Amino acid sequence: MSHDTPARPADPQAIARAADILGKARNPVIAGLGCDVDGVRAALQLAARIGAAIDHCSIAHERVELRTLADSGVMNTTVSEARHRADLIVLAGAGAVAWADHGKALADGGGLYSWRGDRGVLCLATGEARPAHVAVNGDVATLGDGLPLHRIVSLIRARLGGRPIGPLPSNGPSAEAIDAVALQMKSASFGVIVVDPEEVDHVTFDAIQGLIKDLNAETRFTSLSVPAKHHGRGANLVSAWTTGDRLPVGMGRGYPEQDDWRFDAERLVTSGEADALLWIGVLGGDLPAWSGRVPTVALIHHGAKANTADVSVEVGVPGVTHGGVLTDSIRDGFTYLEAKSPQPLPTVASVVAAIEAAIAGAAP
Amino acid sequence: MMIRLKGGRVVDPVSGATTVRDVYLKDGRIVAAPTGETIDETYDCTGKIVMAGGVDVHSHIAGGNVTMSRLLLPELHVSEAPGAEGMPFSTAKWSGWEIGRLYAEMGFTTVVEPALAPSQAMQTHLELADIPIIDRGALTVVGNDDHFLSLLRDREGAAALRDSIAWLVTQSRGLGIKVINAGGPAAFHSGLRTFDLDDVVPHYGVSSRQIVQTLLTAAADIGIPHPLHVHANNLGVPGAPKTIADTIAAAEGRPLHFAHIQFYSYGKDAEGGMTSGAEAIARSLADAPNITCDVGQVMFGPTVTISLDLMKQWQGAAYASPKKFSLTDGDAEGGGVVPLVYKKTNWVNQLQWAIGLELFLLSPDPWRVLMTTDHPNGGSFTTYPQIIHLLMDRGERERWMEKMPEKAKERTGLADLTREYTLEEIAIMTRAAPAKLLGLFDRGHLKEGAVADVAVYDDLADKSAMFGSAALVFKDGRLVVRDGRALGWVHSKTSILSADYDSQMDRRMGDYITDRYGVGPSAFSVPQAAFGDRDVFEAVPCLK
Ligand SMILES: [Zn+2]
Repeated sequence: MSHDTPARPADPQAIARAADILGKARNPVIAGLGCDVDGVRAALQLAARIGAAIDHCSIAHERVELRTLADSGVMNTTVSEARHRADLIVLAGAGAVAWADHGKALADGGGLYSWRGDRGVLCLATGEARPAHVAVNGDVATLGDGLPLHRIVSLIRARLGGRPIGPLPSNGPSAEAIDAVALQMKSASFGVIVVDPEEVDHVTFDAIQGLIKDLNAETRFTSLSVPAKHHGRGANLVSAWTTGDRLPVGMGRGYPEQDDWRFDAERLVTSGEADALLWIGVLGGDLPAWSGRVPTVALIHHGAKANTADVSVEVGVPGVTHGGVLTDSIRDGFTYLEAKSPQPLPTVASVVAAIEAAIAGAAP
Repeated sequence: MMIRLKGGRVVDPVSGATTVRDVYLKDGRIVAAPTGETIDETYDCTGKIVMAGGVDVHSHIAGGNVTMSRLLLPELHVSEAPGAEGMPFSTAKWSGWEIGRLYAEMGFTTVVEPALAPSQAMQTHLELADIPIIDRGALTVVGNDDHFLSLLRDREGAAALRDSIAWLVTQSRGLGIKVINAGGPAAFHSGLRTFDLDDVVPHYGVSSRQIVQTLLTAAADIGIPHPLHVHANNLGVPGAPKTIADTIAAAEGRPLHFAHIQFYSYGKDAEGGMTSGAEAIARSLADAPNITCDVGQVMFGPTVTISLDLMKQWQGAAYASPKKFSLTDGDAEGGGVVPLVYKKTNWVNQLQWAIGLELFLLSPDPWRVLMTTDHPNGGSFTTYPQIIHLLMDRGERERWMEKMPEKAKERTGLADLTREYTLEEIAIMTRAAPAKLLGLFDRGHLKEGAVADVAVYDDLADKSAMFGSAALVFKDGRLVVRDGRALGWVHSKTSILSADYDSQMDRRMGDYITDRYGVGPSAFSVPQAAFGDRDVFEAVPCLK
C-alpha cells in the first residue's frame, strides 16, 4: 500500500457556506447518497444532528426489492452460487438479460460442482432480448416474449399449482408451452430467477418470490436481483444497522422513522416541504433537475458539474483516489478497495463530518 | 487516574470469597490497593454488589443475517422515543447503537457474535465496530464450505486441514470457530431435508461426525482457546438428546461447546410427543467434564430466529409469524431469518421455557452451563435480568408456572427443582466462565491486572430490577453507565485471534477464491484501513 497521499481538507469557505445552508434549514434533506460506507455513516450522523430526511437515489432497490422483503420475505442467492450451482438460470425480463450480458457474471458455467449436470437458460417475458454471454448447454428456452412479466409469472404459478388458466391472449403462449416451462422449472435441481427491480413493480417482484416459494416445495429454487445503482445496496445496509431501518429515513423527531412517501427526497423538495438539500453523488446519481428548487449543497467527484448547486465541493472517489469500503456485486459483500490512483482529494466522510462540526459550532 | 470503588460487596469467585472491600481501577486495569497514591475519584458502593462486567458467549448482534432480520421485520422495531443528547441512534430499535447501550446498561461489557461467515466478514466487522461501549468478538463459521469439504473428500492431510481453518479464522478476524449442523447446509443445497451425525454430505462422501472430529483436531492443533463451538444436528427435534450424547462421544474427551443446548433437550413420550429431555442432557454433561454449553433460554413474546442452519430454517418457515421469512443460499451456508412468537398460551413454548430453566437448575457446574437466549432466537438478551431472577428465586418460578398449561406441566420436572442460584454462581456463569472459555483471560474477574470492566448493582430482592439497570458500569476503567443509563458514546475493541499457518495456504486459498468468485482473496480481507482512523482490533494469542 503506497497511498499515503494526505487528503487535502475541503475549502473552509465552502464548508462554512454548506453548514450555513444546512444548519439553518428547518426541514433539510440528504439525498443521492452515492458514496462509500464511511460516507453513508457520516451522512446518517449528520441527518441525526440536523433532523434531516435521508434517502438514496436507487429508488427501485428500496421501493421494490427491500419493500418486498419486508412485505413477504425473499429467497435469494449470490452470483457465485448461481454461477456454480444453478442448473437452470431464468432471466425474467429484458433487464435481467442486459445485466447478465453487461457484467458477464454468468458467462461461464463455473466448475466447482462436478455433479451439477447441464445448465439450462430460460427467458421469461424478455421481449426479443436473448443473452449472448450466459453459459448454456443447448438452446435458450423462451416464454411470453410479447407479454408483461407479471402475466407470465401468474400463468406459470397457476399451472404449477394445477389451477386452470383463463383464455390466453392471441399474442401469448399456448397452455402447452406454459406447462412445458413449468415442468422445466420443477425439474431443475437448483434454479435461479434473475430479475431487475428497476423494471418491475413491487407486486410483480412479490409474485416472482411467490413462484420461488412454490417451487421449493419440491426442489430448490432461489433468486438473484440485478444489483442496485450507485451503491444503493451498501447505503441501505449501513442505514439498517445504524437506524434499524432501510432508506428513506427521517430523523426530524430525534429518532429514525422509515416511510417511503413522507421521506421521499424528490417529493419533499418538489412539494416545498424541504428547505435545503445535501446531494452526495460521488458514485453517480447526477444532481437532479428538481434540486434547483431549494438551496443545495452538492458533493461531486472531480470533473463533475453541479451548476445549479449553491455550494459544490469536489471530493475524491472511493477505490480510485482514496481507499474505501463498497459492496461488490460479484461477490455480494462489502470489500475494502485501495486507491487505484491516489489523489489528495477529501473524502465524503471528511467533508460531511466537517459540515457537521461547523454546524455544531466546533472547529471543523 | 486512580479510581476507588469503595465499600461494595465484591462478588468475584475467581479472586476469592465474597467480601466487603474496595476495588481500584487505574489506566484501564484493576490494580492493588494503592499505598500513598492519590485517589482521583471515589465511588461509594456501600450496600451495592460489585462484579466484573458481563460476558456473552453467543448473541447474534451483527452481520448480514442480523441486518436481514432488520429489513424483514420493520413492524417489530418501530422507534418512538428520542435518544439522549449527543447519543445519536441510541433509541433506534434493533440498531447496533441500541444493542451497545442496552448491554452496557445491564452491566455487560463483552459480547460475541457467533456466526461470522468468512465470505461476509467485512460486513460483520463493520457492524461490530459500530456497536458502542462494549467489546466485541465473533466466531468464524467453518466446516460447510466447498473448499473444506473437498479437502476432506480428497483425504488431505491434517496439516492442510489445520492451515485452511487457521487461514479462515485469521482472514475473517474471528476469535474462535463454530460449525453449524456440520454438513447440513451443503446437504440442503443438494436437496436433502434432514441430516444426522452419521449422514453423509452428497457428492463429498463426508459424514457430519467426520467434519466435527476434523475440526476438533484442527482447533487443538492451532491452539484456539475457545473450544469448537457446535450447533449440533437435529436442532428442535424430539429425541435430540441422543444426538448430543453421540456428539459428546465423538469428541472423545476433547473440549467442545454446544450452542443453545435447550433446543436439543427435547425428549419423546410413547406417542412421539415432546417432553423434557433436560435430565438426559444434564446426565450427559455431568459425565463429560470436557463439554461446555450455553442454554439458549426461551422467553415469551415475538422474536425472530436467525440461523445459518438453512435446513432448519426452511422447516421453520412454515411456522413463521408474521407469515414471511428470508432464506439466502449463500456461499457455504448463507442464512435464514424466520420470525416467530413464543406464546404463554402455547404448551410447546411453555415447555421450551421450562426445559431451559431445568437445564440451568440441573447444571453440574456453573463453569460449564452458561446463560444465553441465543439472542434473538430464544428471546432478546434484554431478558437476562428476568432469567437471573427466575434462577435465584424459586418463588418467582412458581409465580410464572401458575399460568403454565397442564399439558406442559406434566412434561417437565421444573416444579420439583428447589435450587436457587447464588450471586457467586451468577458471577461465574455470566462473567468468569464465558471469559475463560473465549480465551479472554483478563476479563470476567476482578483480579489485579484484569481489564477494568466492572458492573456495580444495587442489592435488591427484585433481581430483574437489580440486573436490568446497573448502578455503575466501568469500561476499561471509564465510567460509561450511571443509574442504568449510558452516559455517552465510547468505542471499544473487537477481539481477534492471531493464528499462524503455512504461507502455502495463502496461495492455495487464493487460487480457490479466484476460481470460485472471479476475484482475488483481497476482496475478502478485513484490513484495518477499512475502518479509517478507528483502531478496532485487539489480538488475542493462541494457546500454542
Ligand atoms: Zn445462535
